[in-house]
Amino acid sequence: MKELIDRVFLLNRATGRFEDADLYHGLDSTNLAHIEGRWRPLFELRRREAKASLQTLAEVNAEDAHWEWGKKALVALDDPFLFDFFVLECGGSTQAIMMTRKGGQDCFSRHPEHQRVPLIYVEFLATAPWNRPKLVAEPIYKGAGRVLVGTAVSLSLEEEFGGRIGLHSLPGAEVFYRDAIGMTDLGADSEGVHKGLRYFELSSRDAATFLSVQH
Amino acid sequence: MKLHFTADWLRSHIEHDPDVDCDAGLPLRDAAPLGRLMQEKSRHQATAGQPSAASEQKSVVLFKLVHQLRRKHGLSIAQLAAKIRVDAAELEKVEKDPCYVPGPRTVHQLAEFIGVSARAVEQLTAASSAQNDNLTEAAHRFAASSDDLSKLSQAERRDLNDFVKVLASIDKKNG
Repeated sequence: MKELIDRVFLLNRATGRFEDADLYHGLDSTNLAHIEGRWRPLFELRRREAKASLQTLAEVNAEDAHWEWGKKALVALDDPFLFDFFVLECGGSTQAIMMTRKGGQDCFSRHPEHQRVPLIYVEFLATAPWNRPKLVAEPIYKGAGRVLVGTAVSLSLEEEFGGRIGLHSLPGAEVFYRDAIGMTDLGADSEGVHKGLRYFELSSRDAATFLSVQH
Repeated sequence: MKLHFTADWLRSHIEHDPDVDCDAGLPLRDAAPLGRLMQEKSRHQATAGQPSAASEQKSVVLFKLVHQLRRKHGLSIAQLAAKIRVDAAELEKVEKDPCYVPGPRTVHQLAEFIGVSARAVEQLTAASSAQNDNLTEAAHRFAASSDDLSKLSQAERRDLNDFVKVLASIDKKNG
């Protein structure tokens, strides 16, 4: 069902120390149980709190409308050869999950440097609610996004797509993709499932920079 | 698959990255559609494109089990959903779409209502790779029994009770 790719690590914000994390290709029923039994209740609790404190759901990134649309898009996917799951486990729980596609709609570059060439499209990259600075006051693990974007770029290289990846950032994550990862902001979609979300792409050239630059 | 980054690269970037959200694409809120995709993926990996008759059979049994339980207790979909505290739309999908794989919470709540382990009900979903000969044989018998919408006949009630007994014998303590 799932295979260990490598042991990586995440930064525990509370202790200031790195902790070992397991990166898997694929997912299993344990991961689904974590999402349903641990992630979902926290989303629902936060949503209720936001409503009670008159925050908008957008302010805490707890909007559900896109997910309702997203479910329909996922149900429509019918070629399992084209999509892959990656999960990140640490501290006995699923800390993040990513789904990628390597063919079909959205898997062609919009980047002016190489329009229409194939890329890996990140269908979603989701971190556990307790790791999200916008959702909780004291988020726990940092680094899941960096690990999973690095994994998507690695997959793109393995598939001979030159490290190219594309994704739609959720509100509040744009700064991560633009400034930390170095992706190109190609503007917000005006229609479709991702209407209103900004599309980011890592070109072949940017992918090489992404992997080589070190602080 | 090989990662094209090093531990040092990862460590230095995590320390310096801004402390912001990084979620992208669809804002995952529950596991329901992932179960179906996981099932599709594993089915193709296991059989190189050949549909699994065993998986399809399991799904049919689950959808029939829910249907017969409702008949036994005289409950509508909405009433059963309210009773076990799950989304009525999901329960409806379980009954109407034999390929639908319910989320773990729904499996757990159904199991609790029937009085068997969640593991036993999970084995009836197409996403399960578990194989249990006793259950498979009982499931075949159960799937072949009548499924009209009237009140359960004595024979149907016996079939349902026999099947629940087989489910109850499966690994209850690990459910």
